[in-house]
Amino acid sequence: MLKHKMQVMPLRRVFVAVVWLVGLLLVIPSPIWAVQSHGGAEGLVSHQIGHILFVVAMITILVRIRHHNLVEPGWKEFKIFLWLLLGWNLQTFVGHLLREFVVDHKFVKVDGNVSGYHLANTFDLFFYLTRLDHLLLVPAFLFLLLALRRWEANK
Amino acid sequence: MIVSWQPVVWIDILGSVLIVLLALKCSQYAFRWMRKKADDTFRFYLFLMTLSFVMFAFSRSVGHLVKQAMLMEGMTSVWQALAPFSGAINTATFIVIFAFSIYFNRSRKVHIEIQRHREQLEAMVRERTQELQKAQAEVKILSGFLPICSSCKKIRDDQGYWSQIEEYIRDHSEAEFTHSICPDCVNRLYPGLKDNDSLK
Repeated sequence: MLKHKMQVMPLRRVFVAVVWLVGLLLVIPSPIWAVQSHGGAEGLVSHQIGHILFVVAMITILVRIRHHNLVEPGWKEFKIFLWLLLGWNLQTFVGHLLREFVVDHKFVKVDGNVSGYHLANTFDLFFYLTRLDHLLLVPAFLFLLLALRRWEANK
Repeated sequence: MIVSWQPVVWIDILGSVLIVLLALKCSQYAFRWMRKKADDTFRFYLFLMTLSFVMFAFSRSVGHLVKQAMLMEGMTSVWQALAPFSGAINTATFIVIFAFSIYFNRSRKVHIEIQRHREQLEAMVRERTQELQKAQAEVKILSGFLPICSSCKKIRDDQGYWSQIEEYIRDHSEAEFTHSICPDCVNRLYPGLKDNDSLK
């Protein structure tokens, strides 16, 4: 009998606790923590985290290439591709960061489109240069193509 | 000092067009290279990783081209509505590239291991083939023409030596001899002996 009581009691307590919890949720429908909104600066933050992961990826592959001593034709070009992508990531990461500090009146607009930019100091020049990221990205993909061509030609 | 924004716009447009073309060419070369040796795991991994780079380049460049076209056409509000999607897709490709980078080492190790096992297997097959060829050559000696003396029944080997037929067969095959005497020889050699069975 005592054993039977010991088995039943915890179940009854759990049931009572569940009823209380459901009751509380129904009575007090305050903001819950399960569903989070994704507005505001979150987009930029997640994009910047993406850039950091991209940088980590490039470093990881470069270290592994060195570790495995991959020196056959094509790997040199692939390494240059990775270095250029690494540089591009850093450039755009800084560019995104700087954009947050650039005030709108720095841009000269004609019919709503940007036509010029006020260069007042090194910061402005640096920001302007970060906008020219294709100067790194195009050569990067050119080197990827060269690497693939070398691999493909290698018997 | 006011600097023109045109270099930014045109480098963005030209760069994006070039990257789309380069990305397409890269995927073509990667596919052709992978198809040359489709069972190579590391090559297949590099093909998939190249595709992730192509995906990144493509999504980014198309996004930028759409942006420039819309801004030039004065569709700023439409671009503002599309921009989060373009940016989010671009960010997602960063994560895909990161995920691929984690498996570079593992993929390379698996490739080396498979290569080692394949070489071992090939060496084993070569060894077994040689053994088989050797065994077949030995069988051929016994199945070919054997010069035998019509009187004493000795056999002449490749070096010109004459040996007993038992000796020759024992040396060139897996057979062993155990001596006995046949009924005809018993009658010829021991004519007085009646019970031939005792000599069997």
